[in-house]
Amino acid sequence: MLRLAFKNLAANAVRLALTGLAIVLGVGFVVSSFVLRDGLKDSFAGLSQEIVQGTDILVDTVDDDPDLPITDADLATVNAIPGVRIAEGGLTGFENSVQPIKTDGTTIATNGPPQISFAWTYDDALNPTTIEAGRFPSERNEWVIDIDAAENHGFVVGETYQFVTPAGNREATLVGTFRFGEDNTTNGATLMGFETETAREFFIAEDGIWDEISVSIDGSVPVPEVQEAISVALGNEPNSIGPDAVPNETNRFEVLDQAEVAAETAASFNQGIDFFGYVLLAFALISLFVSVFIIANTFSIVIGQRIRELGLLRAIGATPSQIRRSVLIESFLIGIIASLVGIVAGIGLAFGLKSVLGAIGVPLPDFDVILSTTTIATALIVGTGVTMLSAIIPALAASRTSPITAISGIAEKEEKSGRRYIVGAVASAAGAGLLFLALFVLGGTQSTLIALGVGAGTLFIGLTLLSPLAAKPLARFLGAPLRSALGMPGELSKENAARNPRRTASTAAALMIGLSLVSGALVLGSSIKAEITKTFEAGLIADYFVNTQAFDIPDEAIEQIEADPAFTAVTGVRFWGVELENTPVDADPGETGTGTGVGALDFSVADQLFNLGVIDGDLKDVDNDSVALDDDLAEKLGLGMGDTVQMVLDNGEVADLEVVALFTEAQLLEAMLITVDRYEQISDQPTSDFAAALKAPDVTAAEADERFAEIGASYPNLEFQSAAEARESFASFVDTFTSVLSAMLGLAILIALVGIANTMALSVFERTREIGLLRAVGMTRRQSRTMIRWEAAIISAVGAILGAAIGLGLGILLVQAIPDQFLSTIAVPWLRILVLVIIASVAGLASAFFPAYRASRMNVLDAISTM
Amino acid sequence: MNTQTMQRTAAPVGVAASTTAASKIYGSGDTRVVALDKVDVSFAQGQFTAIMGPSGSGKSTLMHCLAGLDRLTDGAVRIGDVNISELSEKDLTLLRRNKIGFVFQAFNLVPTLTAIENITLPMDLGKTKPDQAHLDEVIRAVGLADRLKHKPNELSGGQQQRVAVARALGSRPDVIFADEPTGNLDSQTGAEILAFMRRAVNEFGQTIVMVTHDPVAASYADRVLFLNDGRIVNELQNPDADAILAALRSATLG
Ligand SMILES: Nc1ncnc2c1ncn2[C@@H]1O[C@H](COP(=O)(O)OP(=O)(O)O)[C@@H](O)[C@H]1O
Ligand SMILES: [Mg+2]
Repeated sequence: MLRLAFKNLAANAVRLALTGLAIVLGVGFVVSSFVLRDGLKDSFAGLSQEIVQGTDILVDTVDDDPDLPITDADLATVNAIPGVRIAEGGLTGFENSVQPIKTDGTTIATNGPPQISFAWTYDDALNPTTIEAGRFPSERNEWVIDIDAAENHGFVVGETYQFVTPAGNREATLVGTFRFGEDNTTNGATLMGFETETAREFFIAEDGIWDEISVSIDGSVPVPEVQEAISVALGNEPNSIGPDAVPNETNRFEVLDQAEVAAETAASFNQGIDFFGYVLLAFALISLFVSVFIIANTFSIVIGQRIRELGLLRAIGATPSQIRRSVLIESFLIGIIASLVGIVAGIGLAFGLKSVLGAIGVPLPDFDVILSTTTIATALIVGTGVTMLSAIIPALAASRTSPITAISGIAEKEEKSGRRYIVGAVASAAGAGLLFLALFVLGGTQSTLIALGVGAGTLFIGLTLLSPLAAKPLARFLGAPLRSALGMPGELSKENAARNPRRTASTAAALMIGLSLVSGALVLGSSIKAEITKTFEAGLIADYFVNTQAFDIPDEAIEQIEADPAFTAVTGVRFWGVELENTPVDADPGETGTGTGVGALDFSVADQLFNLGVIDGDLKDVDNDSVALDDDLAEKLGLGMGDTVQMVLDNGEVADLEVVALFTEAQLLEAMLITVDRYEQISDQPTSDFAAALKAPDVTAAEADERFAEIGASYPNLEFQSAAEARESFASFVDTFTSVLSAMLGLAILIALVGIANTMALSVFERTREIGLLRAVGMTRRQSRTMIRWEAAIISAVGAILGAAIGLGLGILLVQAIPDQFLSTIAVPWLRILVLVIIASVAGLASAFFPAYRASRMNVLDAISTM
Repeated sequence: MNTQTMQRTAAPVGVAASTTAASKIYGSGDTRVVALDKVDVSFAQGQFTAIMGPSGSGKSTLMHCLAGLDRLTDGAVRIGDVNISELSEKDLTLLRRNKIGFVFQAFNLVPTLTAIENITLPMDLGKTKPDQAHLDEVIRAVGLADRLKHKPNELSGGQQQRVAVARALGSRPDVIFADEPTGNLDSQTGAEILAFMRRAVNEFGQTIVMVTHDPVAASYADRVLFLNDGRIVNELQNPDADAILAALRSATLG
């Protein structure tokens, strides 16, 4: 049987190459997600190692808890430990929070690698950088930048630059440039070092507080002993260092050695990379799922075409199980070969993905190709497994071939359809049920995701089994206009698409799945956009919206707007999250307290800028001892007017706040609103997420723009938008999101198109005599190409339309499942979905280019000589 | 020869198809096969010609070259006064569509089309309107009026061949080529088809060239050509089956 399998492989090289292509693409995407993940991890592991190069021990607060800061006293304690050569406190600003203004008046774009600012480390061993030009920052308002950033953004040593910082507009003189590690491998990030007190001012860090302490030892005492001594001296329990130590109430500090720091740094990078890797993998699995349909379809067509040969084998004594085995071995061989090719393709795809992501605004750093044994093994197992899985049903069908087919050449009877449709209906119902469960019942993230994935998979399998029911009428309907448009070839396209509904349906299935996912995403995206529009239109009274892509808006900037007589009402809005001691009324027994988002703003102008739908009380009454609550949150907590919200502060104390206003429209702000003073007790970041402003009635839009331009000169990273512009820019985030999603799903669609090309090639082969006959009685080459292409177009359109319909359903279901307070609008982007269906059909038409060419070049004589 | 056949042979005026020094050579060196060896033959309009000969004698090759399905290695083929050796692929296709009809041994029909659609297929491909009166006459003659909406798989083998003949006649081609049109049929059904082809020649003045193995089938023809090793070795006018059998025997022996 092995020999037979090999012979079949050799005899059907082209058909097998086509089958293999779907596997290659599916496996390739899986491999690329691994290659990308491992490459990025490796690249960041190198970075982590360079960062901690000279640091022997690092002291950090457990979980970076801002409530338990490292103080000057702690630093002094560490410096006094025997064996410590020097300990230095470190301060790092939030990413993109400190932005120097370039000579051209702009700041460095924030959609790329981050801009990282830190207080300069003065000890040579502890500092992972080397000064290249000038000197290190030693005086107030001095800074240095890495050599590549200096070059790329045109910063010149000796010049003084303006900065946008959380504290406001500041200035500092560039006194030098530095190299990070050996070759300034920053992965594109901009690194900026500031003199310590300058950093403290720019970052709004409190006096005498540090983010961490880096320690260099003198070698007289072994590292673990110094570590332990530091740990105990800082008040930790004995033996609470190292990665296994459990942080608790008394163990406030983590005291890590170099390897642990490097690992922790790498782990923090890896978290992001892993997430990215999982997202890619999810899309890869979707592609793989789609390829299963293609492969299964190809196998069943090929086996159908070999039915006479199989019958002959049966006639001369091959048992059904031998036939079955031969088909499975064949699929195993194809699986192995295609997986190997897929691995190579995956490496290429990883780099392709990098440039595609770069092009749509998600640049990735450079990375080396790391092909781990896990990747190779996974690719081989998955690729081969999927191929063999796809071959099981065709193999079973093949083994049921009766010897008589050798003589008649016709498969006795198509297997009974009844059972197929019953299985299809059951699977669809089960899949839909699981989806429903995932969306409306299950709570946990993990179980929801699994139920979503399995449910969607089962639903798609079920719908695919059912889809032949729709394929024939739909193909006839869609093909109906072709006769008058294209004449006889069009009529033949239509009839050919309808002649074998099961084949048409299986071929279209892959496209159906791809398109249903994309159109589902489109429904979700446009619903979110509609929700944004609604929220802005209903909730924003303000004329202007001040926003930033960088970090936050400094109070200084907002104060400048406030001071300008052109604007009558202005407030910054701060967002954060807090713990409340209030327990939801429907909480599980034993559960206490709850978390909520919280917003802070100037209540004296709130009702001039926002329409929050106040139903009770007055926003103006909110003071430091009171709150305004969203009615849903109030209901959830069982609170009414005059009741008390117990909010946990940064220092662990609990503030009692009286409910003095209830409102209904929380979308634009948060469900709980407090004063800015109170806010400062829950967050150490005194900056605003956005600001809203109302212009004086006699000020024209042009005048307001002029005022903003003037203020904006000091804050080039702020965007001053009219209400409509703000709405547009929020909506455009959604567009970016849907584009990325569609691009990722595009691969599944690409594989689906390969499947269509595949089926068409096989159909052309199968209909050799028929096409020969048509050519003999006067069909031109061009007409034969038209006939094949439009058949592919009809099949694609069938898949696209079914997919769009399913996607619409899924999208609407998803929107329904999202709580109304986040998303209550359903908007169906009919036009975009229609365009998508048309594009998919045209792509299907194009995918049949090669089969159509083959049909037109067919040797008429050979074709009819086989009669 | 009776008077009736005299009239038949006297009636034609022009030449529907002809070859001059037609040669077809397959392969080279050891595998070289001369399938047609400088064949000169012409087919008069309105005549029913049968081509006979042993297997491998070149019958199909001659027919394919005449019908523009294959090209000669040397020499010329004319349909009417068009030298088809000089035509482009496209023009050749149009020639097949408009001037030539085909009946093959089997698999003559497009399975997705109904009987009537198969009959009008060449005209539909050319978007030309069929001559409805002629078409009706052909359909009545083949006796398929009640089967027109049926797909090929709903028709018997004989009915399928009748549809094929009707298709060949439907567009009034200059010449119909039939390659063993009755080869797959039982003798009675075969006889019906042959009688029908005979009527087409008599009533519509159709020119037919038919390849056959069967002396009885050949006896329906006005003229029988005998092929051997790519050459025409004998020719009979209006023979009966016995005469054909005798000629065949002598051709194979000699
Ligand atoms: N495509 C081909 N390649 C090589 N030889 C061929 C080909 N077609 C026909 N022949 C040879 O040409 C000769 C004539 O064949 P053919 O016309 O099919 O004969 P007939 O129809 O009388 O049986 C035979 O010897 C055959 O083997
Ligand atoms: Mg022959």
